[in-house]
Amino acid sequence: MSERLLINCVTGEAVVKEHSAAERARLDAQRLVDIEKEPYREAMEVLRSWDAKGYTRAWETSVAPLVAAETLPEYDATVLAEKKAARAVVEG
Amino acid sequence: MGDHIMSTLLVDGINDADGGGPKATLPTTGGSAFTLGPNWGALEFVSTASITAVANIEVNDMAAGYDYLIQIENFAPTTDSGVLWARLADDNVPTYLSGASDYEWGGNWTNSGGGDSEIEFAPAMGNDAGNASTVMITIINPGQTGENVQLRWEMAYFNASANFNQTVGGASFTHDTSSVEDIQFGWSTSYGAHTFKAQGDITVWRRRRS
Repeated sequence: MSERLLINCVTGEAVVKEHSAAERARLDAQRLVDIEKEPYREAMEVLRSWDAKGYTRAWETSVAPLVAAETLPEYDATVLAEKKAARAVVEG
Repeated sequence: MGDHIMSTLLVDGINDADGGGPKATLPTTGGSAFTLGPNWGALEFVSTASITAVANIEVNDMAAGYDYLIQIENFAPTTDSGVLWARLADDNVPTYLSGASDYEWGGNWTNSGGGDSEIEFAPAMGNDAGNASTVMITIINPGQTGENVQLRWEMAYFNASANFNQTVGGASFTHDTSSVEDIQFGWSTSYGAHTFKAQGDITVWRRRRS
């Protein structure tokens, strides 16, 4: 079980507790949504390395359309459906 | 000898050590309305704790009427290339919000670019032995309502290549203009699961706004 360190600003108390079942479920759903961000991050790191080498920044013309069309290689239909369902849970 | 607590101090003038003339512009007759309130202008200690191998660190139940200063000291992710994230809660459950446009953030390396589901404090951080980073965050008046709660930070950190860097930045709670009672920290690589290394401390202060 994962834990959290809690600082209470009223009492000054600091304690370590496990996540509640509700918080655990919410974090698990959120993680599926968070994963969506990783391809963007990796793409940005690649582009930064291109910048460092003097290449023209190409985000708008190369990566952004793939992201918009959800056609990055690791995005199959099943995974996309799971992520969209998870986002619906997180955002209510 | 007992303690004497004085909540209000009335003064006629503030003099130098030789008793010379007033050094401050104060009324010279009839006393003065100049008063010193408790902890006026000073940081007030809230709490400190050692960081253990936890997935999240939370600062809960921030009170109205204060700015809060949170310093996470000598910390590191257990998993390499973690980005330090934070999410806020505007209820007392707390429910940390993660909608796609709940936050705007920006730093001296990049920004959220039109809304994000968390606040990001720096690029990817390293977990090598000896890597230890520190961030000082000021949350401006989290107890207010009617305006978006905002925060500022300064951070010195080891990146994923074990080089020492720094960021400065700020964020706005764009979810709504509710007060914020709680802030939660975690790691991008698996928020709520990947842990902090068991090193460093977190210290919290607050300062009165009036």
